[in-house]
Amino acid sequence: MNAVPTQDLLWIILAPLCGAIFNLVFGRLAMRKLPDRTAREVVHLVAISAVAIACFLSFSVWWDVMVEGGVRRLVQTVYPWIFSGETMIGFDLLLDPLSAVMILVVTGVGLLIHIFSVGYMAHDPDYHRYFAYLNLFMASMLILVLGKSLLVTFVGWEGVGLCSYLLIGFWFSDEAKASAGRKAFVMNRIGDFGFILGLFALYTVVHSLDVDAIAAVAARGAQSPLVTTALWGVPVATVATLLLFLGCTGKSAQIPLYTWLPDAMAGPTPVSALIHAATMVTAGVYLIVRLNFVFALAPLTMAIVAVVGGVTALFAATIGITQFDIKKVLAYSTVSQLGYMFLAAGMGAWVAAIFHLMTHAFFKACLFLGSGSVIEACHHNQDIRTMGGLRKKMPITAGTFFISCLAIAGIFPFAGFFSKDEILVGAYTYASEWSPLINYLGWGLGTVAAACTAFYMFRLYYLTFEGSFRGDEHTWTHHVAEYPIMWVPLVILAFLATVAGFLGWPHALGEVTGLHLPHVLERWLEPVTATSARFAGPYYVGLRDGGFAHDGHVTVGAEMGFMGVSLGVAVVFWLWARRLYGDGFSKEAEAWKARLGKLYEASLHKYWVDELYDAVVVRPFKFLAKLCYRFFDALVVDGVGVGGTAGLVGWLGDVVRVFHNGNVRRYLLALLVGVGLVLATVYGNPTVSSLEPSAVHRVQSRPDLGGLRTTLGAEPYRIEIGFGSWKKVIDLGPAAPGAAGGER
Amino acid sequence: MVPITHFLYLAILLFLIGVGGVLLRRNALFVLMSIELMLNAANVALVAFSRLHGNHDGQVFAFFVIAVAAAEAAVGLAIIVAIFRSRDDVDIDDLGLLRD
Repeated sequence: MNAVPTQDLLWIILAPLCGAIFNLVFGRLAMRKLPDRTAREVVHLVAISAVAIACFLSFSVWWDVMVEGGVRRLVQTVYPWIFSGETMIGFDLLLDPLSAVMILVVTGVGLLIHIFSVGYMAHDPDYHRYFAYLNLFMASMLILVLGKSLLVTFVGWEGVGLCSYLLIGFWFSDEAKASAGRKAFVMNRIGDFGFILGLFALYTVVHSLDVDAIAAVAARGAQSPLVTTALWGVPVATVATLLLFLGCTGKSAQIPLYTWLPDAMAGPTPVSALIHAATMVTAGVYLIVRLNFVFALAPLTMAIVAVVGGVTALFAATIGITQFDIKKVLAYSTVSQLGYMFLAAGMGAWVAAIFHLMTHAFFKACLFLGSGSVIEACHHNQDIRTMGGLRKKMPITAGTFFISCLAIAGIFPFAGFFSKDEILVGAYTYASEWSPLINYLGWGLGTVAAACTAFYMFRLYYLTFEGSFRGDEHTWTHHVAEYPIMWVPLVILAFLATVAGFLGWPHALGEVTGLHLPHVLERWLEPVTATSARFAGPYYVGLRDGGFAHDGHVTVGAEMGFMGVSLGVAVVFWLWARRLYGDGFSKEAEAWKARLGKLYEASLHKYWVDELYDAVVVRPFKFLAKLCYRFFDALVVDGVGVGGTAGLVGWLGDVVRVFHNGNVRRYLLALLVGVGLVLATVYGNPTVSSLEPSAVHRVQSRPDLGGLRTTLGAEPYRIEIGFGSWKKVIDLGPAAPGAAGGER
Repeated sequence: MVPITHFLYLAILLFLIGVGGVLLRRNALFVLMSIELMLNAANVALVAFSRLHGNHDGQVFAFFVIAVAAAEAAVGLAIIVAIFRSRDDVDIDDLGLLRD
């Protein structure tokens, strides 16, 4: 049954890693030695084929083993990584339905984005570095997804964070971009700190970080030690999941750690598409679904996840409405859509979360790449106030962008409609063990955010592609054309954004239209997502009471109602956005701006969250750092430590130099004085002088030696050195027999 | 028989004269002679102890010392003569050329 060689899983990771290493080691050489065109060909062919191999292997292992072979779980032991006492952590890779979905999305979307990058980065001098980092990112992300132990996942988690930092600050000579990279890194560090503490918390109970081991412990439901063991009076499951969720808020840009993602747009646009929209930022969602059985044991965490997700979805969406930077709009849109995923995950609608993760990867990657095309075409201008009418110049980009807007806004039958609807239905109908209020809150926030989403996406579309051009004449006439290498990925992604939704065809729609398609994704993910329901026992995960349930599905009427609401809201706001921005900024839009006044200001300035963080956290921290620097570093370490040591040595040197002047006679005098002192100590000391010859070593001599008989080493004797009240006694020579000599 | 202390006092006296010469005189010739005095003081002590213990090792040592002292005097005098020829002066305080 399992005919596939076992290396396959490992090579999915190794292929991009090899590409990264090749470009890091030889890329610079190639760029310097070869003609520019050839060097770029070498660099991107290596990078793209590395990802293509990973993509091919992913698809082949998925198809051969999981679909054809019927194996739902493939574990590959690469090597035992850590052995220490009772701790055993293997570098194991796990391919199950969940990680299969992830690797297909990551390698598939990643491949398209690599290809797009060839066009976008065509004239960048650091071509090789770009592709090396991109490949490194792919390898890290695949480690994250495929890791069976959470520690392996953590390695990938840190790896993607590093690559994100490197790529955000890719053009590091620009201080603003470099500082955006640092911001992302620091924010992620805060989250990662929570992640690793969460791992510790899990480890205290499970004594392993293997997903299967954790599942085995969690399988006992309410009797599981995860629940019965308390940490500061709170069940370990709750503590651990809260800490892990902190990690997720960092990586997946949720409140309160989301502010890095909009700034991350400083990186090259394909990077924003790959890392900050499609893959890395969804790692948090993946982690929660991967550990769904643990999260199910912590109703409090689930409620917090849902509320944070819902609030983030709305919060970011309202900011997106007023932004003028094409990438900033998309960035806030990403934060908002990630909020949806967390809302779903928090309600226990795991499938909906992964469904939206997948569809979002398609349409948001398409949107970002489309914005990349626009930015490239407009000579790296990102301000939509100076765009407009671009559809005439770039029809393919405009078309794919429009399709993706339909998808993200949730218009039937594009992908976003299905996934977002599933989330909203899940938010309303899934039981929350914490409080039923979460249902209304989550659904309400989600629906309002959906309205905002439709509005800001179509605002963006109309301001960019419709109406008349508002930029200068030069940009319009010297417009960069659309190249196939850039529009082919766009078309593929737009196609996926159109059809991916049919993987999650809702049951109710089948009842109404008579078109009964299976919910492919739900069936596919069932082995993973069903564990929480099976394990949780009293911590129920699933549809709540309230007349929604019908054969394990939401009733047709309820579901159609939700669909109608979300579709209606989306369409209404689409049309409104068209009316306001269909031809540039209309008078009505200005009127609304004036009417909203302060509210508009707040949204435009992102609710001053950055300023708030700056005042509350960054400035005090900088002050503290400066204090440490001034007092501890400059004064204690540099002054007393380094300066003091050097000064002491120098002073000693000065003192010793007086004696070491090269005058032989002075050396001789010093020698004489020294010898004189020794002799004076030995013979001027009454204890020594009066010692009897030793019984052991009697010198055969006449008695009259004038006290010179005792020579050094032959007899036991004692030296007493004293200055004032300080006195020191030294016993020298052969050990005194029976201490008789010393007692005199 | 002369007690050994007499020899030793003599040796000490000779040695101190030698030390004094090395320390106080600046003429290289005098320094060399003073060193000879110190060596001979040691010889006196060696021979005296040799006689005291009835053991001839000390006298053998004394011969060695005399041989070494002769060689040293020859080399030292040659150097001093060479220095005197080149500089018309053998003041050891002025002979710090190699140090600087």
